[in-house]
Amino acid sequence: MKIVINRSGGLAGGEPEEVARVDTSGLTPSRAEAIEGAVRELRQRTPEIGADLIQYEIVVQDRMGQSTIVATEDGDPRNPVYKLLNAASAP
Amino acid sequence: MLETNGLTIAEGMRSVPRDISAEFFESIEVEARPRPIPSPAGVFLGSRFKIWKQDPTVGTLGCRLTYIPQLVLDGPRDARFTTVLPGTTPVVRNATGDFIFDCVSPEGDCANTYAVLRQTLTMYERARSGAAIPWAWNRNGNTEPISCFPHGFAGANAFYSRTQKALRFGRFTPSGSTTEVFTCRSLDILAHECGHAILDGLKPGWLGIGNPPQTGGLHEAFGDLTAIFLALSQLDQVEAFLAMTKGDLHKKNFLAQLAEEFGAGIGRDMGLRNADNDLKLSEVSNEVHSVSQVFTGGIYDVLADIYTFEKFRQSLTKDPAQVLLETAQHLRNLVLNAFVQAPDVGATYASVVNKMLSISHAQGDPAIYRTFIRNRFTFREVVISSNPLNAMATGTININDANFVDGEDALAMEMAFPHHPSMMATQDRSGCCGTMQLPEYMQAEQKLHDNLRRLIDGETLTDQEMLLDETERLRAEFT
Repeated sequence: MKIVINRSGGLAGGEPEEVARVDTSGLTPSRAEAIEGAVRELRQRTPEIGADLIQYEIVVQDRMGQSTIVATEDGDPRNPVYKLLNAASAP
Repeated sequence: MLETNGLTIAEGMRSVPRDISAEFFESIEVEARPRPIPSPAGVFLGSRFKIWKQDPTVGTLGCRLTYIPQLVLDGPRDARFTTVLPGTTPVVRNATGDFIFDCVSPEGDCANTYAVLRQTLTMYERARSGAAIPWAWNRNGNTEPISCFPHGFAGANAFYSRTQKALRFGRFTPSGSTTEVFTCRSLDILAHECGHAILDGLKPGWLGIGNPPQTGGLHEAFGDLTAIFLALSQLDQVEAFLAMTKGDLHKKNFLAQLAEEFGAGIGRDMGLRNADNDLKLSEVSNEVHSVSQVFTGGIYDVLADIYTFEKFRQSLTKDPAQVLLETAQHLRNLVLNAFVQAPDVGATYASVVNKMLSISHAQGDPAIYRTFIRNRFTFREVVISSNPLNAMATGTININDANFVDGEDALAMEMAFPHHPSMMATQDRSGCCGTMQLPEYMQAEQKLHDNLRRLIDGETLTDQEMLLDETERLRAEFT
């Protein structure tokens, strides 16, 4: 699974910026599963409705083709978007 | 007078906190003073709060006491706002019903957050003759308050979430700094986010999918303008502002610069945004905050223009601070009413500007007000005039002539660039829509007196009972 994560929004605004780009085929199994699991969770969620929310556009390329998931930060550490960001941006 | 737990009672009427017994009450001596002329017994609700006037970096203003003239329960909370800070809330009011804490403490953050949010909502409800403004979910009798999280998360942001029915304020440490920035200590950020929640209650369709960036820009501009109008509704801030600028609203100032501390924390030297800008539609991107600066800047210019006109016109009868306070209040109401009357979905800058023109004319404003509006939004490429605006082009507007019109007193102007990208692309927001009605506001003063009588009789009132009358009023309004 190849993933590109673009960040936009928030109180400060600003243009979308790429914050992570990762190919899980080159990662350890545990880290790959962390990313793919977070993506699965995010597919089940509906983005928050509101204003000044930080938003992530997650472009996913896998065996099913390319798809885009929109996720928002909500201040809850259990939000899978934080898991995805942590796993995808780890060194 | 007897003051206890937020209720200040004139002679003959007494109140006790909800958990104090009748025996304690009987032990309180109330001074009986002869009065040659009877005067009505007064009931003075309310609490004092210590708040940041702007934010911790605006050192000339600092903290001050403010008065919220209504019943505020431990939390702080009332029928519309609930403060949430795990481990700290509910913050308990003191013996005189006040929330006075160190401004740099968790309790102080709760008090500051509640007080500024409450002032923001009250400002707009007063502008609508006291009618309660619903949150977006207050439909069909729902009176659920909004939850406010002063320490809402770790990060350089603050947001309004209709999904969570919440306002969350982040905290972060800027790179290269050891001092944490709390967004809940910024009046501008608190007012801005509360502005989003208020506007979502009034125009729920504006956060929906399919709206162009300009509609999102209106939402952001409303937030920034709310911060400016809130500051200008407070006379001490108005006076400080005038002392700093000598009345020139285009001088560098704390009013136009929004969220100074937050802006510095993310590397911006003129605050998060600067309302005193000259940006045109062709100079901004489609990102909603970027495009919002055009509308915010246009309104700020109109504010400066009208103030200059009114300051001269009323120079012999009013203090400049009073003129600015009243000018800002007038323009705030005009903007608010124009927003409310604008289309329920897909509102554009031109649609709001045209509403401002028609409302201004209908309410009998001097014609020069509309000249300012037309000129400023023509300059910013929002609307286009069917007649040449020669006076604007040549700098010959007669600022002292209430009837001055540049061209004609048009009440409907064409959109300058109907195919501008900010009109074409969709903003990336999801949402829903609905309708609302706002019945007339009604005071439940008799019920308040009934409750006070119960307290005098030694009964105990729970928090829920104390809010019951207000909740019932809201339920009736939020049909």
